[in-house]
Amino acid sequence: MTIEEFYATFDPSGNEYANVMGRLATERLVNKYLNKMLDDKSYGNLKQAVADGDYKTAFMASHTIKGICMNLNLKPLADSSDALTEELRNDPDAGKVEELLKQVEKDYEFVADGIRSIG
Amino acid sequence: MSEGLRKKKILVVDDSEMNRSILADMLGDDYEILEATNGVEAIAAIKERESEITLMLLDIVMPQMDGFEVLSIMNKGGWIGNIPVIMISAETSSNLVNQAYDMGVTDYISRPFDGKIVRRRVNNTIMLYTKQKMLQGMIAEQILEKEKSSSLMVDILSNIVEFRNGESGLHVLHVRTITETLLKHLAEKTDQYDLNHTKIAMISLASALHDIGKISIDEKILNKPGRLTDEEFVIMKTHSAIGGDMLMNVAHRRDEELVKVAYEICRWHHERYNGRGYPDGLKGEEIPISAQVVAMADVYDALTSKRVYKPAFSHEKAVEMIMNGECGVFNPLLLECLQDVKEYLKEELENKTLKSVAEDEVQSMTEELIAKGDTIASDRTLRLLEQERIKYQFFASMSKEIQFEYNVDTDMVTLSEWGAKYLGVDELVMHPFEDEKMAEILNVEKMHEIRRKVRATNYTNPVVGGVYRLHVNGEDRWHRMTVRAMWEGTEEKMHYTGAIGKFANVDEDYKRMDSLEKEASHDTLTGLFNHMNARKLIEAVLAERQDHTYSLILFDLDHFKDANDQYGHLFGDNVLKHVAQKLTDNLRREDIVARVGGDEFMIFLEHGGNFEAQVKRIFQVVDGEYENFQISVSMGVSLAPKDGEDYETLFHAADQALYVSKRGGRNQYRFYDNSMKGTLSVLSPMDGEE
Repeated sequence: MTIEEFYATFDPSGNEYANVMGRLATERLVNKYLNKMLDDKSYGNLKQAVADGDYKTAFMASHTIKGICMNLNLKPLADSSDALTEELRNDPDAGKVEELLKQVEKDYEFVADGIRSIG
Repeated sequence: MSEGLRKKKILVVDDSEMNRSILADMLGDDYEILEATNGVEAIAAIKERESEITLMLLDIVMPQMDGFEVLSIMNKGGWIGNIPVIMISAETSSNLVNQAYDMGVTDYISRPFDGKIVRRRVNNTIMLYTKQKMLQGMIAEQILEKEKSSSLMVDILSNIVEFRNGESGLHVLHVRTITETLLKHLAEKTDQYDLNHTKIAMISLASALHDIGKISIDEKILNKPGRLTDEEFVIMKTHSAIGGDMLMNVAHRRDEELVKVAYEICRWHHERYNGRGYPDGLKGEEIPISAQVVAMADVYDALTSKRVYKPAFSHEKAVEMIMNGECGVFNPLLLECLQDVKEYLKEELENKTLKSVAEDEVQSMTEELIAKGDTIASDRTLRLLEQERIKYQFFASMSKEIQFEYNVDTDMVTLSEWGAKYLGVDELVMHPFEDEKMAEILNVEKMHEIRRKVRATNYTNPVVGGVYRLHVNGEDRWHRMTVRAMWEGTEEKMHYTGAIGKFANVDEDYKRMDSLEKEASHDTLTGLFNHMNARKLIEAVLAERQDHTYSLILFDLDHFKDANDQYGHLFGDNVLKHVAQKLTDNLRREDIVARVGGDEFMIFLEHGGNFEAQVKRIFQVVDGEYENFQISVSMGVSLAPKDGEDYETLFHAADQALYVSKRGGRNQYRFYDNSMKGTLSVLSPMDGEE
């Protein structure tokens, strides 16, 4: 799969791909950051922190994921991590956090699978 | 401005490695990137390399110390004025963004980053700051430069002109005043000439040099009474080109802005707008604005001054002549300016004396600087903060107290400038509880004690105090600490964010109190403990006796009354002192020695089992002579725990043993035993001897 095809898996319009290329200029860089994202510990930290009920740490991790996804135009994960971040920011509701985390997990796994299959 | 060969440094502060990496990729070609993963590291980097950091990119949400705290510290430390900060964040809430601007942030870039935008904003911000810095630098330089050169130059030139030209020295000053007035007005009318304060000041200053070329003109021509011949006029006209050449020959200063401006003025102050002037016949805007203005000023002053060949024209007449083009054609805009300022000018020149020029200069400089200051620090908040900082610093330095602030999230202490200097540490101390230098000043356990006390406070009662010994400059000094815990949040849910407080030096008071306390607990004559205090100490030892064994010895001096009677009380006192000294010399530090009555002493000491030898030794120690007075003692001893385990019992037993000693003929010691029970007491009023 090419990088363009990867972006098309969640955005057939091609807008997200065009945007990320416009900002980061080369496929080499986009590819570099996509792979860096897989190495980033925030996702693991987020799950652990939510499991521990440590919402302050979870907020940081979720916030980081959101930032990364915005930078890489990974729209679905950017949206779901944004929702989770906002829930975690003030007085989080445990039930809602669980629910929003599930969506983040789903989107993350989808994105991660996609990145791994970029050839 | 010269560009250094090294790349400018940008500090990127972001907890996400990926974000730092993206920014490094975007900016790495043009800048050297320093990275910090949180606010604490950022502050450390700023402290260490403030002068090298050209710009800071700062994330808001970070662990340990977030972006706002970094800004607040930068404001406090005065760094925000030197290092421009661009906020980078995924935060889009306008509250947060506004707060960031309020705290002195220059720009805000939201995610996702666009390479081109990031580069452009970074470049713009750096340029803006550089420009501002340059301007500040120029003003500063100008003040210096002015003080150094301006009055000197005016003096020298006035003299030269006066001596050689026969003109009044005031000509140079008048030209200068007119030049400055016209330029200021021109700058209000148009920005086509890029006339900022610096430039106006420089042109006005350089105007003094306009006739410098006249130095090389033959005195006979210069001072000829009457009109010049055509030939002489040709020679006279060379003064402008010669003046220019003279300046060009100031070899090592040729690149200086002032010299350049002076060159323009010297060479071209006889050019005219229609190209009919000399020496180059420049036309219109080909003539630098500096030379155009000085030309008009020169003509005006020549017209209103008396010359050998002409009378002085009135102000009105001079203006009229210039407006009519009788002295050559001028820039129409300049003519307008002259019209606008003529009344003001008239007054100005009439009042002009050498002295007032200097005063004016200071005045206008100050005014301009204040005005300039406004545009430079465009952010009012910043200035207010700066003022607060100055106020705080001032009061802190006056109070001679160590003032401090502790933030629990960042685990950092900020000390007042004075306090830091006094303690010999940095104003910012990270992780104070683990800091070696801090531990030298206040022992770690005490620090934790303070922390416990502070944390144990609550919102309504947040202040704690105490007296602590600080180790400062190699000596221990007592300080009174007052600390206020900082609580944040609502009443139901408060959390502790840190503390503010101070340490005030109370060393002298304490040392005085110390000695007062000593006085109260000690016998003033002998320096030994008094009875009450000895009792307290003995009770404390007995309370923790465990399996240790002690002797309590009571003794008094035999026939002491005789000493007093025979030799007087002063002598008696000396005998007591002598005995006390012998005891102090021969007993251990941990032994308790007290004077419990007139000539009665008490000793309480631990014995390792061989108590008899110990008592005998003490008995012999006090035995002796003091200035022909024979000293001997009667002694009674009780043992703990054998004869009792509390002070009262032991004391009573020793007292009874002492009584038995005395009854037995004095000069002896006795140990208590049960047979003595019920005997009389020495220390009771029933004592028959006294």
